[in-house]
Amino acid sequence: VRASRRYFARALFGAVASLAIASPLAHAGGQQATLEVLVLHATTQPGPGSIDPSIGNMPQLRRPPFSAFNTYKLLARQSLVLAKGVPTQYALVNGRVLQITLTNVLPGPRYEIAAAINQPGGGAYINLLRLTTPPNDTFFVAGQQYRGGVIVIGFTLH
Amino acid sequence: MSLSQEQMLDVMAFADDELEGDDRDRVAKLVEGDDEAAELLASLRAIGEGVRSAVDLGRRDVDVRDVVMAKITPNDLDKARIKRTARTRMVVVGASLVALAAAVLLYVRHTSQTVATNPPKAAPSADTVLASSRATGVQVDFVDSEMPASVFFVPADSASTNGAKTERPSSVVVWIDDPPPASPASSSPPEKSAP
Repeated sequence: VRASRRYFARALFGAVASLAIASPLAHAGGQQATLEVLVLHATTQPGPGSIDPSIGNMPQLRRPPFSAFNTYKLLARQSLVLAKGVPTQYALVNGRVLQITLTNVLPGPRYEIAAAINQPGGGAYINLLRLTTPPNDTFFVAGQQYRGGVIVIGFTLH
Repeated sequence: MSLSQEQMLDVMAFADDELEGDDRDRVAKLVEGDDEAAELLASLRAIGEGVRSAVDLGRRDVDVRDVVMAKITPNDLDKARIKRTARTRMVVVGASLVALAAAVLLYVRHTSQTVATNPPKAAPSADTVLASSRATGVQVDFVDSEMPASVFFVPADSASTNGAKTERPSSVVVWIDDPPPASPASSSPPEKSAP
């Protein structure tokens, strides 16, 4: 009975150890970051226009190239947890799908990101966008046509 | 043979200690006084001793269970233990193989996902734009799109250095034109600043 328990314990330990080794490989060492996605709708309205207060303090919207539009409305705000090496998808309001992957975490930290925006059943809007960003710096991807304006997507990693 | 049949039976009973009292004394006197009776008694006792020593009963207690266990237990227990040990080892090997297969499967799946996410870097097309904001800011490494793409630096605040007002870029905008299918108008912003 003692020998059986010892063998069972060894088998259990082996299984747990194998999965413990494989799990970090599958989740890329457990490195992760939180991604804030801000989806705005930019349009040109008669008059001075307006910026949706729910967007928050974003002075960039008053500067080029965003100043080409005078009205910004918040369409969606989403927080995503990115695990290194694991693609994360997010459906946009225009039916396209954003796929974003944390490909690496550099010292600093600086996050290496790979993103793509595809149209299900259609062509890709962005085949691949690769960039490196520090935490709390917002970068934007803009230009998709949507209801008489364009979609502006803000990305901030924490 | 001078002993009568009755005397022989008496001697046999005496040899087996079956006589008591006067009968025993009578036969004892017969054996002492008659050589033939003494010889018969000695013969009977010799036969009895031989039989007892051959069977070995009556001199010591025999535990049948011990005898049987001594003959069958060691081999059978060893066989059962060996069989159980072999079965346990098979379980150990099987569990280890399953765990190893799961680990390989997870690793292969992770690798294929990474490859799918990061395809081999294609030759930069005409739409590829490489740009960077300040040294610690956002750095655009690669853009691959079928549509015209531009990169803008958007200053969010101003800083004064030696009396000269400079603007620090704090945001990067990747602008990719998305021509509407029905409208000839382009979504390109009217103002663009070069990286």
